This record gives sequence, C-alpha cells and structure tokens, in this order.
Amino acid sequence: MLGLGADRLRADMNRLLAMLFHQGVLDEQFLQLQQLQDESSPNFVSEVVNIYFHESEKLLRNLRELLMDREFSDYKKMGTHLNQFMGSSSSIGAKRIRNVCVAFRAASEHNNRAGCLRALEVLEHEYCYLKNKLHELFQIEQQRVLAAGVRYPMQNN
Amino acid sequence: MNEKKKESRFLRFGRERKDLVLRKRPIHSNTILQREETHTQHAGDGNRQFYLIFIFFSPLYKTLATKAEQAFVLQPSQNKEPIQFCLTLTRKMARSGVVSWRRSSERLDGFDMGPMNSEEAHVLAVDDSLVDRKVIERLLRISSCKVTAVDSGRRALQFLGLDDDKSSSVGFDGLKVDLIITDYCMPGMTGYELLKKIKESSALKEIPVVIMSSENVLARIDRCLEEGAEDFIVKPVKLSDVKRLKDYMTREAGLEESGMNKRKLREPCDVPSSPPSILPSSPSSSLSSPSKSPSPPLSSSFSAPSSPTSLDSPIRRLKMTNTD
Repeated sequence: MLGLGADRLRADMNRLLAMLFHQGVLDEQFLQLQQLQDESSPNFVSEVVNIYFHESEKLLRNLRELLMDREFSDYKKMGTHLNQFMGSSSSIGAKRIRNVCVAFRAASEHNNRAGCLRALEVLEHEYCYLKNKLHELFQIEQQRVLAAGVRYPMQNN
Repeated sequence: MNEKKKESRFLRFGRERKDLVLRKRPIHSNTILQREETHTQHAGDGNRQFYLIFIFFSPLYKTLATKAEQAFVLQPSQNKEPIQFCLTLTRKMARSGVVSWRRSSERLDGFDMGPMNSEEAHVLAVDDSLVDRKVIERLLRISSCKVTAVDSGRRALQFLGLDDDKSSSVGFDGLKVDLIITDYCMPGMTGYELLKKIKESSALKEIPVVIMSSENVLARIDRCLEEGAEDFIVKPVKLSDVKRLKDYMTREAGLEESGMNKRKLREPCDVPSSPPSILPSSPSSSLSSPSKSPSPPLSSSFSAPSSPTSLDSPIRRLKMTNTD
C-alpha cells in the first residue's frame, strides 16, 4: 500500500506546485532550484528556502519597525531592505512577493507612508501564504521519500 | 618447426602491432616485408603524431579541442579548419580505439585521450545576500567549478590579495581565480567599485569579471561593460547563464596563448546560430559593438556558437521584463 502512497504523494506534490504556479505565487526560478537538487545535494531546495524564510522574517520585522515609528522618514533605508527582499524573493522564484515589493518600493519612492503601510500588510500576508504552502510542500516531499524507501519482502525478489 | 616458430612470432607481432596491421593477412614470409613497409610509412606519421602530442600537452590543445568539439557538435558544416578537423578526427579516433598510441619510442601509455581532463575552474562569487550566495554556489558547483563565496567586496579583495592595509603589488591568491562574479548592489563597496579595483590592479585585471543585478538598467549595464566587465547577468541567475560563463573561462585561458585563435574566432561574428534557448530578440550587434570593441577577448566572445547568447541576454532580459 505504501508503494502506491508514494505515487499518490508525488501527485499531491505536483498538484500543489501546479496550483502555486497557476496562482502566480511561484515562477520558473523555483523549478530551476529543483533542478539543482540531486543525490549530492538532496535537500538543497528546502535549505535555501529556509534561509530565505529566516532572512525574510528579519526584513519584514525591520520594515514594520521602521513604519511603526511615528517619526519615520528614512525611506532610503526602507528601500535598501526592500531591495534585499526583492532580490532574495526573485532568486527563490517567489513571484507574487516580488511584485508586491515592487509596488512597495514605488510607494516609498513617493514618500507615501500610507501606501507603504498597505503594501507592508499585503507583503506580510503573501509571505505567510507562501511559507505555509512551501512547508506543506516539503512535508509531502518528506513523506514521499519515506514511502518510496519502504520495501516489502515480496518486492525484494 | 622453424616455420611454426616464425608463424607464432608473426602472430604475436601481429597482435602487438594492431595499429599497423588493421586487416588480416595470410601468415607467410611476405608479411615481414609488408610490416617493414608499413613501419616506414608510419615513421612519417610518427613525426606528425609527435607534433600532435606536443599540441595535446600544451594548453593550446584544451582550447582548440573545445573549439573543435563545439564546432563539430554545433556547426559541423563550418568545421573546415584543417587543424580543428585534424584534432577532432584524432580525438574521435582515439575514443573509438582505432589508433593505439603504444609505441616503444614514445611513452604514451598514461596519456588520456578521452575528454580533456582540465582542472576545475575556480570562481570567486561575491554577494551580500546569503540566499543568492547559496544559489550561485550550487549553480557553479553543478557546473564543475570550484567556488569561493564571500559576502562583500572588501572580503573579495582580501581573498584576492588586494587588501587596503597591505599594499602588495603582487596579488597573492592562494588558489588561482579564473572568474569573479559579483552582485552590483552591495552595502559598502558596490560591485561596480569592486570591478574598478580589480581592473586597476595589474595582477588581477586579466581575470574576467561578471556583474549580476536584479535591476535591468541599461545605463548600469553599459557602465559596467565599459569598465571592463565581461558580462552582465540579470538576476535571478539560471543554469544557462552559468553555462555561458564557463565558455568565458575556457576561452580566456586559451586566447592569452594563441593569437591564431583570435583571428579564427572572430570570423563568424554576428551570426547567431539560433540555439534553442534564445528568444527571437532584436539584433545584438547594435548594442554589442560599441561597448565591446576595446578588448579582444570580449570580441572573441561573439564567435563561439553559444556566445551570441551572452550579448543577447541583457537584451533578452530587457525584452522579457518589458513584456511583463
């Protein structure tokens, strides 16, 4: 039964990925990352994505602190954070997040604080969504690897 | 009995000298004469083989062989250059085992006539983002390169031996660096400033430098190319970009030693050989010629079959982002 489970899990994974692509959450760069994963580096994608999550959370925190400050005026610093976030998001293939960053940056260039706040909220929401979905993806992947590795005695002949 | 002994000797001889005797002959005394004749024929070949061996051992071979392979694989119709053809032929022959290099006068047993065992290229990657560093590192490793990744221009200069503190004119890099790939936007020293410092250093200016950026700003691209950057890659970096970079490294290594190559490589200049990865984009020559004319290594990058992509890529990326 577990042999069939591995196939089912792979189908689940593909379905989830297809949905994320269709929604525009991920783009082809994510596929490129998957291509870089092989036996010599079997956890490459999850490692990179976890680094991305770690960095993104720091950046989002910084952005929120900047904007929550009543005497906020350092749009330039915000722009630096945004550029970093944008760069790492595009390296991962997080298309929607990157697009929100572009809008965010436009607002900050116009010194539009309200616009920035709104963009930050959308950004946080998108980030949460992506994180949940990718965690789900990695969980299915882990289960699939385990399921594919199980052998029954009869299958060994 | 004597005849039998003779026969057995001939048989042994025939087995050893398969390279001389490629077809079966009836074993009788005539064969001695025939073998001597073929031996003298091959004496001439020996000289040619010696020259070929000389070429094989030289770094020139690496470039020519790669060129021959590229030319042969990608554009067989253009493979008319005699030396390239000869090299391709000998490599193919060696691979298929037709030519055995076992001769007593030349000890070639250990010589590997298979795919050229060149040393791995060593790339120095500079990027302040850890995510990007991981990705570029993996891209390069998968393309069989040694990678050193640093997080700032300062660290990069330290690694290359161009520290501000110790003003050493002789740049010591423990491991020779074949290519430097750097992000443009970095806190402290930008990629552009790093590029300038490298090109100003006599020890390091020969190393090709590639700039990466998430921004597709034409002015920035032009500025970097004018400063001497080899190429400008728009992020996110893909495997196809890294494959293109590998061409720079092998080509650069060969070009410094052979002026002949420069002349040959300039020939198929502006004709893209329509590799499948290229989108139909605007002609690259208009962008490429003004900014690329100063340095010969750059102009030679036009001609290898995969090279048009290097010039098309900023434009390809431009086109892609314009349609987004």
